[in-house]
Amino acid sequence: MYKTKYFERGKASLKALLFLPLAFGTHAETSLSQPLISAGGEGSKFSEAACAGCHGNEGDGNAAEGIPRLRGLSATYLREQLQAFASDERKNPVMNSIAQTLSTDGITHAANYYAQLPPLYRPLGVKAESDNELATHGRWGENIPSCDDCHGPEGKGVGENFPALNGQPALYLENQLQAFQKGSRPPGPLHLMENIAKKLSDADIRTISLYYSGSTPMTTGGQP
Amino acid sequence: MKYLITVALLMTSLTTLGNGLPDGHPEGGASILPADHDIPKDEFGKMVRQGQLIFSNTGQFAGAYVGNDLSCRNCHLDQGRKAGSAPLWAAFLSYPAYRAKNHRVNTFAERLQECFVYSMNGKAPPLGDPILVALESYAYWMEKNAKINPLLQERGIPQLQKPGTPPSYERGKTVYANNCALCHGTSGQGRRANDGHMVFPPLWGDRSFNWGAGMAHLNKAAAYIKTNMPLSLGGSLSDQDAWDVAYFMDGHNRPQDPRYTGSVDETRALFHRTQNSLYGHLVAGHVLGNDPVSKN
Ligand code: HEC
Ligand code: HEC
Ligand code: HEC
Ligand code: HEC
Repeated sequence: MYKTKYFERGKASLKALLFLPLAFGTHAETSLSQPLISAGGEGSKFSEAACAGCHGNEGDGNAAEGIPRLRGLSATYLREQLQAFASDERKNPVMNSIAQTLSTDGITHAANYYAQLPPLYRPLGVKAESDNELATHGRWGENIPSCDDCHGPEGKGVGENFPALNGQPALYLENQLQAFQKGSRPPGPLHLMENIAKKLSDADIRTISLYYSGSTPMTTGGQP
Repeated sequence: MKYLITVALLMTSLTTLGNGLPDGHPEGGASILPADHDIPKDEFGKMVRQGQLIFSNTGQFAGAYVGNDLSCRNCHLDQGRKAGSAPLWAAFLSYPAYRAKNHRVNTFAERLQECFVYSMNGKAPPLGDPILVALESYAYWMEKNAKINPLLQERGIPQLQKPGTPPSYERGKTVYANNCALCHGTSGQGRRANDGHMVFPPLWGDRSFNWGAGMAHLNKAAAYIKTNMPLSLGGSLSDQDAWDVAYFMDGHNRPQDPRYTGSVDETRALFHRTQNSLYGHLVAGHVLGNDPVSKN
């Protein structure tokens, strides 16, 4: 049942399907297939191996596949997202199945584990001056503050509720902005992000996603 | 970039209509402002950039004159461009002007000084100081290169009608918890980015604007909040909610009025004889203005 879902859900899901053999082929195999079979019971504990196949070691993410970096995101945010995957409010067939196998404690452990890893940031560059117009200036005529106004300077994240955008794969960011537009992801606190995403054009989304993904090599940054 | 497109569109429609206004001046619509990349790359442009830096990171670039965690842009949104948040360019065009606050005609530079003293809880940079020159240059550049609606409707903060029911601290508390605490924090302290930058500015307490600031007046605060907050959702609160939450915000203690005479009663009688100031009032168990508040 969970395979047919992929074909129903468009681009992002197909990508994930193509990528799956790779994930199962690595150390994700045992830990991932087990809980999937036992779904419906009490749910399983968290083990990093079940996530590393896709999210990389220590939650570094996978740019080519559009799989987000988890390390350094806040525990509250991570927990809320896993809960939203588990309840199908945030729709992504892969993550829906995985989150549904985790127990409540498992979700908390996963969130706490990734939250305590130091974040990774990338230096952000632009080719043309307009490339980061939305990120650093916004478009106030349409009541769009700069993205940095809420996500912090260089999109490095603020507190528990405003996740870092800096260094996330461009494909992932694009998918999320479209998900907010379509309603296939919850609107987030005060509907702030849904409201902003709905004002963005496809071109805006492409430019801004590329900008925050960073073009130069990774550097460690921020406070542990 | 967007500014340019809007200019182009507007100019086309104006030529077609031939409305007789000076080149490109929009008649009914919003004024059109220049974008940062239009700042000239010469000596004057350098001063303009410096002014913009001071406006956006006031503590960092004018630290000696700042006594809190705010920057000018925290209130004057879009770096002093946005209508409804007392835009800098519209102010530039409106001085010298008589001010009831000090009973005399003030120059633009003096008006800048005033925001340093009250809104920034700091000290006035002396007239002619490079900090004021830079801010004036920034304001002048914006104004000079704008296509301004001659009616200058964007000046100041649009007034808000008196509320149906007198504003209430308790109701304001609920409005605050539901719409503001997410960003400004449960005790109004604001919130820093993970890298230490102040992102959501403090609304009350030691690191916010002081009792002499415009924002410490209920009518100004309510109007500002109604138009601009929650960030990106301006206009979404009811008028009553805006007044209630303004009352809640201004019903907390903040740095002392710099004109303090040594007595709250006397200071109230001299400078706060208006229903719009809660200074000296008993609110939620505190006489406001009476708590020891450190300056700096
Ligand atoms: C088969 C690949 C795969 C595995 C295994 C996997 N994930 Fe994911 N995860 C994804 C994809 C793809 C997304 C992006 C979903 C989307 O586009 O909404 C994602 C998104 C997430 C997010 C949202 C991040 C954000 O910034 O909002 C969290 C949290 C997450 N995964 C946690 C986990 C945890 C914890 C595990 C292990 C228990 C795990 N994932 C295992 C593929 C995987
Ligand atoms: C008014 C505040 C605000 C502004 C401005 C804002 N965001 Fe957000 N954004 C949020 C919040 C809150 C969330 C968390 C949503 C949730 O919890 O589901 C979020 C989440 C996101 C996410 C999902 C991140 C992830 O890890 O899955 C992306 C992508 C995003 N924002 C992009 C942007 C971009 C691009 C802009 C500028 C065009 C922007 N945001 C401006 C408040 C804001
Ligand atoms: C706490 C919010 C706040 C901060 C911070 C702040 N201001 Fe203001 N400013 C106001 C308010 C409120 C007004 C009054 C608007 C009105 O009366 O319509 C105002 C008025 C002004 C005016 C006159 C506007 C007019 O049209 O007459 C200027 C000029 C000005 N501020 C400049 C600055 C500068 C420069 C800084 C930084 C050094 C600054 N402000 C910081 C809130 C603030
Ligand atoms: C999404 C986050 C967010 C929410 C929610 C929000 N604000 Fe703000 N607020 C900001 C930001 C960011 C600024 C500074 C704007 C800038 O620098 O561009 C600001 C500025 C202000 C200011 C002027 C600066 C100061 O410190 O005095 C006031 C007053 C204010 N907000 C009040 C409120 C009130 C009242 C609410 C609830 C009705 C609210 N805000 C909701 C983000 C928010």
